Amino acid sequence: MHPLSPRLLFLVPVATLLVSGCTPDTTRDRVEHDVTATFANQYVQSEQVQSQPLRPAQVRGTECHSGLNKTADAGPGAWHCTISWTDPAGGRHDDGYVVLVDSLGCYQAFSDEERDATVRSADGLAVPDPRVGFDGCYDVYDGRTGTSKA
Amino acid sequence: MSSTTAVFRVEWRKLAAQPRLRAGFAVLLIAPWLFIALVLHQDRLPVETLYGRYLKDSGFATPLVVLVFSTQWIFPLIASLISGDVFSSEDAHGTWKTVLTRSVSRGEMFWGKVAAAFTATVAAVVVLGTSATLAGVALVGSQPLVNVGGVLVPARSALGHVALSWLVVLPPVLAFAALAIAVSILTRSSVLGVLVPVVIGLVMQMYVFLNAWDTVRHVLLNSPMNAWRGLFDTPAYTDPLERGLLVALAYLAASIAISLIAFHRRDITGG
Repeated sequence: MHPLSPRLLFLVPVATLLVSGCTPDTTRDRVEHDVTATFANQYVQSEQVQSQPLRPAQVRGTECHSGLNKTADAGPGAWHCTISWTDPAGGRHDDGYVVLVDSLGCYQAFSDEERDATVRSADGLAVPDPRVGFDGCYDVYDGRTGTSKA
Repeated sequence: MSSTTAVFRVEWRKLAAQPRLRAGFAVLLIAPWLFIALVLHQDRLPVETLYGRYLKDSGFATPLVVLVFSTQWIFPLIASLISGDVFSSEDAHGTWKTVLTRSVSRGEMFWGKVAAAFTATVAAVVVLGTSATLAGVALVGSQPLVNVGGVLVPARSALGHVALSWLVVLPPVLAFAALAIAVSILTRSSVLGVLVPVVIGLVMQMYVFLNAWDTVRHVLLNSPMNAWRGLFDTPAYTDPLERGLLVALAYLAASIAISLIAFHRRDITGG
């Protein structure tokens, strides 16, 4: 065995641990990407509940910031996202959401102002609007590693 | 019938006869029904728990919420209660000399006991998962369920995802069972065999709550225990599951190897 091998056997895993440790699981890119995609799907559901013709909302963009790690915008905790979207009639909206992110890559999103909003279902019942509160998860190993610092 | 099978059968009967485990299985059977019945009788929903907001919308949310709770501390507790004294009870009763001087080798005794403990642990998880699913479907219904991608999933697919989610937590749960067996053999104490893995599980859970180094969390058993979440997303992702299974298998293999070596080396002449 090469004389350096035992040292390498120790150093390589430690270096891997240190390098991979530099990339947080919860990044701004991951939160923004997932909140955008999940909101768009929840909007479709909102239309379905109301038996309206399926016309997806155009999400122009989502901006999220961590409430705890304000410099890097990374890590679990309470985040705030602003989802900018255009409804099928052309109305433009910028809706704020509190997004509670856990350390395992999942979150609960709540609309700032319409948390208890309801819509009228086909049966005439008032049901929670799927658009104003939803759960989501993202892959903590994907390539969306960007934070505000990066 | 091989000797390992004979040991398995004896150990299985011993486990099934324990009042503690019978009571535990009864709780696993009843608790999900009580939980969803209480949720249905109140206005508020546990919306800050994954799938909690859908508990009244689809019966398939019940087993997933129960799974979220179980991964936090119920699974380590189940695994420890079942496996933590499978070996050390022989120490407590001074029966090693008796059982090992029969026509059973140490290896056969070891694998028979491990097989019985693992089978009972899997049975406990299956009982809890099945009971939670039946409770949800019976008391709420088999409506489609919204997944974590915001997509409405038909009942049949939702049931399949629920079953798969409960299936993939088995390797980390068995890793906790293997830890309990290792502690039980090393300490020869049933109290420590049950308590130490529970404490390890709580420490791991506390680490998950901390906003600490993510890489450390990836090698804790909580990661594979929660890797099912990605399977029920749109699009689904399996990276956490693939890595988590390796972590669980590493804990499992290390614990079994330590247990096997310690068990073969131990002196039983004292009884």
